[in-house]
Amino acid sequence: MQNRVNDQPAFILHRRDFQESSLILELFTIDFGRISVLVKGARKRRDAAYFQTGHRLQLGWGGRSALKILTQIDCRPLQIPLKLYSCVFYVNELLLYLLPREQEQRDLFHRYQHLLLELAQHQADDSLEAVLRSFEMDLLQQLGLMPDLTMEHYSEQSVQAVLHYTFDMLTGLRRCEDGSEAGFGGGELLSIQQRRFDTTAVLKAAKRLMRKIIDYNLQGRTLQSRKLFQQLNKKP
Amino acid sequence: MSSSAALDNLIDALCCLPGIGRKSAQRMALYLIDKNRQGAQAIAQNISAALDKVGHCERCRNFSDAAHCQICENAKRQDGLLCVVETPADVMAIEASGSFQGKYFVLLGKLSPIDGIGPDDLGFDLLQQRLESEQIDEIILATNPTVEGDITAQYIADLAARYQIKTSRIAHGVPLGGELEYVDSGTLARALNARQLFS
Ligand SMILES: [Zn+2]
Repeated sequence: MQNRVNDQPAFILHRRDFQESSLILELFTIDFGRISVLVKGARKRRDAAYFQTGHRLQLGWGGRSALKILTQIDCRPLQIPLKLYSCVFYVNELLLYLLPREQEQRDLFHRYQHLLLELAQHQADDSLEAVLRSFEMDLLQQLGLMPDLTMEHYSEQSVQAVLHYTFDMLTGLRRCEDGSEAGFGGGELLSIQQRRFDTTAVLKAAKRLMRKIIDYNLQGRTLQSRKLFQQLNKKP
Repeated sequence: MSSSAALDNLIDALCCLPGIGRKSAQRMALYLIDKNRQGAQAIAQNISAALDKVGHCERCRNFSDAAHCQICENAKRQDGLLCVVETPADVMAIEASGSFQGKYFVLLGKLSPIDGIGPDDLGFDLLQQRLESEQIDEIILATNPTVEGDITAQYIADLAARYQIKTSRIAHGVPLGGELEYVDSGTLARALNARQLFS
């Protein structure tokens, strides 16, 4: 990586306080993927409000080590409703775990930006699940972790809408008797593949399937944000 | 490496202070030992006493020598007005502004989903108990104006709504994103007075 970078589109995935008034930012940048930068005195600065997750930033930094030093920041704020930040944190945590460091991920960056814009413009609750599932698929696809949902893994036969399948990370899709609770309808799988989340049945199946694939790729780590928001929403 | 191992140890120990590097630590150590042994004695005694005595107040979670802190015990302060802040430093900042005569609740943090810091870490249970059992008229949410601070404020506002307690958010004047600890007292006083009902 070159020594100095300017005007790099970026989003903050995570911020943590460092020493008295500084911050360490975990960033998703357009050309360098995931990187970490140190912002000295960030919490005292006039532009402290920029250093928040969910804003479109243009950043500059220097330094050769894994932790860069921030040199420039411009911000185009996004107004994401507070209630929707559970989605932002969830997606950010996924990216923190799954994105490789300092590797360009342009397409995924654009999808992420698109997701935040959708959240900022979001009105009612209904389509959020579809938006999230769609982004999860983008993420897994870009990282080469998304299985093909149109074909059985071993037999290489096309998935058929009227049949039923089980899914396992090691054996992939396999035909099974219908009525199996852990299974998926062929029609659901094909809808998911085409991202047609029109019915609650497809959305439910998609959630179950994506959860399976994501959990496998998290390699035993638990998503803190998922746990926390479940806990917060459960309280009487 | 100096001529004295004890002096070296003191320098090492001083380095743990925020913003103090080796050079400053050396200067401080030399000053204390060479120029101001009485001052050094006072520091040593006070650090040891503070470590021994200071715990957390059972009512507001701020630092306290006793089960209840001096602010909670102060009968001249209004019981019905509760200001919720993230840190003891925020309490000090608001106290320095001299514009608040109610009581506090100190979260000792903020909701940080990715770090796994949730309601249990922030004393929400204790806060809820207080909302349930005390006559509180208004809660001022003075968490920092960051995304995490806003989310924390939102959850406390939801909690307060269950007990029909009015909530307001410290606002305008605190520069967006500026943390309370770093806001000057005049601005902070104006921000407290201009607080707005939370929706
Ligand atoms: Zn107290």
